Amino acid sequence: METLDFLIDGFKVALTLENFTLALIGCILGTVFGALPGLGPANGVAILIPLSFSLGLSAAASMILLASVYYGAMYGGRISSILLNIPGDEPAMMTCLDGYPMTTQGRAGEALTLTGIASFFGAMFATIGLVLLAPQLVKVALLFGPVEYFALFVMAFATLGGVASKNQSKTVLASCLGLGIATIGVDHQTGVPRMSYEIIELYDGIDFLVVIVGLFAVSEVFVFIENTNLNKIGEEKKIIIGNIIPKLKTVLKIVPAMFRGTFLGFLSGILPGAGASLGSFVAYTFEKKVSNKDDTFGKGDERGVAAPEAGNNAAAGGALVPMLALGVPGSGTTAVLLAMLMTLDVTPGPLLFKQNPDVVWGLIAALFIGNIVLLILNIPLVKYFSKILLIPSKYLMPIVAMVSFVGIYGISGSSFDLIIMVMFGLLGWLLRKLDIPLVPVIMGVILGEHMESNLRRAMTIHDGDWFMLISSNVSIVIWSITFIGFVLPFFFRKKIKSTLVSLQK
Amino acid sequence: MNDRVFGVFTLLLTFFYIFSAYIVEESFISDHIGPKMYPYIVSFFLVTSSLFLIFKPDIKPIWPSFGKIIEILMTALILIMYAVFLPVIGFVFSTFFASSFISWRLGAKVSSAFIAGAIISITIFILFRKILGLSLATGPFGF
Repeated sequence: METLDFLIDGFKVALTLENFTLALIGCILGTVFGALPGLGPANGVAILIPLSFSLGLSAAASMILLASVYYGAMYGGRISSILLNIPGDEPAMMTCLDGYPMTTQGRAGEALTLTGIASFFGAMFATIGLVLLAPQLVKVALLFGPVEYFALFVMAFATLGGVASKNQSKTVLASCLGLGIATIGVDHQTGVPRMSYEIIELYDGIDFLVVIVGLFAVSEVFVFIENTNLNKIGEEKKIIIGNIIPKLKTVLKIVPAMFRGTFLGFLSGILPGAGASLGSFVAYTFEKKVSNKDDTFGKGDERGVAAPEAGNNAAAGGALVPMLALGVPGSGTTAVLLAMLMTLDVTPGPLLFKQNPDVVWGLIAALFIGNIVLLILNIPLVKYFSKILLIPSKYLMPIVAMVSFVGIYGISGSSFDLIIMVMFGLLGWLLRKLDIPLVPVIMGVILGEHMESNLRRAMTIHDGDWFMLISSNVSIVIWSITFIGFVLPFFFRKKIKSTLVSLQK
Repeated sequence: MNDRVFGVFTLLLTFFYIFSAYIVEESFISDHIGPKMYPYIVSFFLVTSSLFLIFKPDIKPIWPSFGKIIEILMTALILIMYAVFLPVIGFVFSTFFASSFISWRLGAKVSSAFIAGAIISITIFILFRKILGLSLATGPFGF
């Protein structure tokens, strides 16, 4: 039971006063970020990374803070889905379908409590799954060399678009934009500057935090400015929550839905390139298939809110498995979490478990504690959080923008970085308009350097023989998954699209 | 602008990128494939996906009105000026102007935008500088 020993040590790390306070703050902030439409988990984490970095938090402490934000956002997303029919973040989209009808029937409080329970259930089981699965995956990953790692990185990108993407070529384009940006600056292997045109500021490369905050947070400001007139319609919001205690019978009714949602969510979380949005999508679609006997789905069925919420929270935990064990993230937010580890010079991947067990197990223990905190925040205290939805964006967005600037300036103290960040904000707005996903760009910028160095190390070991990239059995398996993951969506996309369209009707 | 235009743009950008990789001066000690190969591989995929965008574009996005685009560019310009003036006039003043501007453009009245700007800038200064001890820009007045 060495895992148990590690876990106990982890609790010792997580229960120090500093770390517990950070987990608490993270949970509160996360719920807020999740609840506010326009600010998702990736956004929230991105804004906080530079801050936690400039505050000089240790790796374990920052991971605890940010992972609590990540989990919290998964809880918070449901609040505006249920109350306003606007998803607070992308994974909470499916919760609108049955959540808002429940609100119109005056059962908002009940919906919030049930989804709170489902979120807790999903997140708890996923965290247990993480404890059991990650160390096993680490054992496998220790056998990986540069060849396998390079293949793994390619897989992460190829499957990224996955089922969720609308246009595969846009995902490829976005990934390569990110990978290209990552090559700017002095080449780490030979020390020669690349793509920097004698501009001193570019010799160090473009800091991925600048890119992340620019693409996610600053571009959000532009999106809000674009839609200002549209927002006026939604300004007269009324929030009535009502009774928050559901009948025991209703709670029992959603138990099977939670189990199914958790299982499917966790599975889609582990898969590369899927993440929480897919988790809740799969969970809802499957639940509808199983339980929609009396045609109650879409009209306020409790199982229709429990399944996707269990699903997205379980997926959030599942997505941490490849991120921690392999150092290869499968979703936007886990990629951003990885970026933070890299900023703190902590090498992600199997070695993390050996060299920094306090980070890994402290984080996992913090997730358990955070979950309990989140359950308390999100059921009895939910009405206070729902008040946050009443803050108009005209006061909220300037805060978001300014805090982003503060964080980046705190790290580098350079105006140049801030200007680059605004440029990326504009780029992010443009890419969003063109329906080009931002997550691959971010992943490209974060993983680019590792991907290249693994390729070059592999080539150096094997004397430049490109066929050695498909020499080992493991690498062949990874390349096949890559191929299937890239090609399969071409055949399935039509079907998924039509399901999505019929669901939204 | 639509996918086609953007495809052409990324294609041109890629050619510039390939050129930039081509002129990289290799040092006398080098690993097996050198610093140029990997950018070339990335370029290959950039070119392919750009061509896909040009020849198989999606439907055009709904663009905001010309006025809105100007507004967005203005906001970007204000934020860039913010970045430039931050070390010159200090954190509190520049943040006050920038956040008031954003708040105003998001539909607040001028007077309430200024109040919001003042509150935001002072609160952030107290919270991050005084309580959390972050290094914010200090102008000639020390704040």
